[in-house]
Amino acid sequence: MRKFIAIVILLAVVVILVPWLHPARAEQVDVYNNNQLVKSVVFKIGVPYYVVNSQTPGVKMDVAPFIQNDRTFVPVRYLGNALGLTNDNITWDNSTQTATLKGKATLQLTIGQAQVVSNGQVKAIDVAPMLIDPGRTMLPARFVAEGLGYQVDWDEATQTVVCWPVGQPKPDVSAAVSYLNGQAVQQPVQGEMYTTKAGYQIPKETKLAIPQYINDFGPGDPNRCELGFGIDLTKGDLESQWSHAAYILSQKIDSRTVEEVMAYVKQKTGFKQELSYKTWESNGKKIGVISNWGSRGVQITVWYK
Amino acid sequence: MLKRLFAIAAVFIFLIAALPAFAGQLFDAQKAIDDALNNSGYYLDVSKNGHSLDYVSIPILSNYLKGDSYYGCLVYGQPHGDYKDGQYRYLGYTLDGEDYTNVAFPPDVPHSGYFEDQQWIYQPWWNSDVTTNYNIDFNNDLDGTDRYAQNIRHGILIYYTDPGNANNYQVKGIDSSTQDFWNNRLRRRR
Repeated sequence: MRKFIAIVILLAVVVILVPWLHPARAEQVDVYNNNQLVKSVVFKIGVPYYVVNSQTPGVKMDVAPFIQNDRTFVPVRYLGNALGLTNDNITWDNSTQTATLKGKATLQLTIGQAQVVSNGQVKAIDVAPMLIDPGRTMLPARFVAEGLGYQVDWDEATQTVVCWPVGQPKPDVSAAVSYLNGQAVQQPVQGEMYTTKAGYQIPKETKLAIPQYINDFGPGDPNRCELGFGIDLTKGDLESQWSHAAYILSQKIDSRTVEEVMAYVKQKTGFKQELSYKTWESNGKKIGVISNWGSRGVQITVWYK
Repeated sequence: MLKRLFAIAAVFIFLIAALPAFAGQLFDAQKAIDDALNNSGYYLDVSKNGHSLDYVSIPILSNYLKGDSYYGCLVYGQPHGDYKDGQYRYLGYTLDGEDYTNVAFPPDVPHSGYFEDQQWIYQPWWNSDVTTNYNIDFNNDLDGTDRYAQNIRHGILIYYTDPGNANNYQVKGIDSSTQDFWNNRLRRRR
């Protein structure tokens, strides 16, 4: 009996300590790979997942890669992780606005400066790292990957970036590309924003139905409402409206809840459909979605407690 | 009660909306229906439960009898439900198939007081207690805008100052003490 208990305890300890037996962490551990080069990494423009070594499902990012000035930008921490770096080796210095990635080489990239400092050597590049709302540092994937010992290939047809170790043949990433093609594409939210009294940043150019009195929402609102807006089915371009809606909600609501809310919102694409009232709780807030049959929009509300 | 008040407000939007400065011409039912379908940003040709859009008169407003016609409202389907004092409880159905309250149906419970002093809910479509219990969502082209504000004000005043109205509320009318209410301005609790 003692032997049996000992075996059970041993197994429990093994499960806790050996990461690849722990399902919740499996994908991350495989990704980090102890700062060793990974065989392949694939990003797709507009898709907030990346795939390492063709292992699916991919790893979720909170911002999808986007293209600016012909370069693909990826959030710094996810880019570092994808390329095999542990979080300890990805640091951010707020005072100098500089990200440091320690791998095969030590790279430093500073917001607004079109250069990569590799092991102290300055190399000019054609774009600069940037900050995007809500406070994410975006790095040009190609220069970071090349600096860390990868070859980088861009596939225009599938809008994917593939990285693999220099000197090795390009891996077959068709399974990863196929997986990424099956994911919803997020349109990047760029352009001017304004901030509501409750602290939400709203794109100035949006087809969403934004009430003209949106600044009344927030502390002191008699309905304890801090955000209220809608998808406007009469304006079309639903992909962009959904993307803006997810972007706005993500500023104060956790990503899993935003995904659930948006999956529900996207079920209505025509007037003669209805979404019965449904609510979620997240970060001490309540989110409600409703659209009556015949309504020309979908109402999304966030209440504070 | 809340539903009834919504219905009252809705009735008066369209009671007056299509009338240019509510001049005294006869109401053309077909014109009202066409206008609603083409310009309202709200109505569809058929309701969720399959009824088409109709014009139903409300034969109680004696001040607004023109010839043999009364002003009325746009509903889906026809009057139905309990029948009392010559009135059906419902005038028809709403767009999403709910019963459309007849403001001329005799009240179930007597009530009194001023219209302005009732327990109004500010922007009910953003109130979580309301959205939990009623199918209500906002229309950004109409709700909280001035588009029909004048029509709503006039409609309510016409109805409640008409001796034939079925409710017992009184209106104070628009003066300095009620201006915020009629301008739909929020009186914040301090």
